[in-house]
Amino acid sequence: MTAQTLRTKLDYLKGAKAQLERQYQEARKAHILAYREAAASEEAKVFLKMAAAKTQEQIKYHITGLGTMALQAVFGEDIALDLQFSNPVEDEKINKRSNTTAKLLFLRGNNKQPVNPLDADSGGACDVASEALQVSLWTMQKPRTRNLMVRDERLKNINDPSREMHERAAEMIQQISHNPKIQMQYIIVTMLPELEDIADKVFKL
Amino acid sequence: MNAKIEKQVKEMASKTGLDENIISDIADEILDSSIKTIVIENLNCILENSPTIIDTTIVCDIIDKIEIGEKLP
Repeated sequence: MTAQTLRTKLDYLKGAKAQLERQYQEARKAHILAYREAAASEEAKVFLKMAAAKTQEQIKYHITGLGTMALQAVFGEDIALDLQFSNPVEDEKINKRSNTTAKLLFLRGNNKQPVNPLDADSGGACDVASEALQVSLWTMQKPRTRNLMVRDERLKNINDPSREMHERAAEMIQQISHNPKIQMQYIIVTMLPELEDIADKVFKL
Repeated sequence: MNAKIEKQVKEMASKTGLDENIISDIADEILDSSIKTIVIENLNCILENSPTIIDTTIVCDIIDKIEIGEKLP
């Protein structure tokens, strides 16, 4: 092998080394960039989780606050309305993420036992909770629709021979309608005398 | 009450069997925003098996046909 051949080979190897060094630098830069992006993405994920938790907390407050107040005003302290969120779960098999779901429940008794509202009782608690829920959802609307609710045979499922619960439920509707922040106008078709008692205007047909 | 509303009231009355005055009274009360709770007691309609019908569909009809576009801003 001549000196000339050796020099040519050396030049070739130097070129290859320089090429590899450039590639290494580029790969390093890409790695650093990807590392930073991954860190930022993790940070964003944590931030999003916090924002989601905060949003859920606020939605829960807005949705269950009035409902719990209404239920307790009618049925006493041992019932509350609860909203439970199930967080999304990653399914690796189908590479899909489930959606967040929310479930409405009643909490009954001193130990706040969760109960499916539809299995709870005669349906009176559902009547009261749904009334409060509809008003809660209306207050969350932007822009709000007109403050008018039309009701047919509301509170008919309350089962109380003493009629005290009917009276308290009617008072609850009166309070919602006269609350300065809500000022809901109710038009109710009913045969319940308790609702007539709290009405500003009664039409007897 | 203008002629257009009067016509709507007559139509509602013939459709439901309700008195024209009652329909226009209900409409007037709905328009008065200071009246917060309006109760329509349908006990007699049910007990006497009356041909008069009153339910939320009719109330919504009253709101739609008489109120909306006629008196509200």
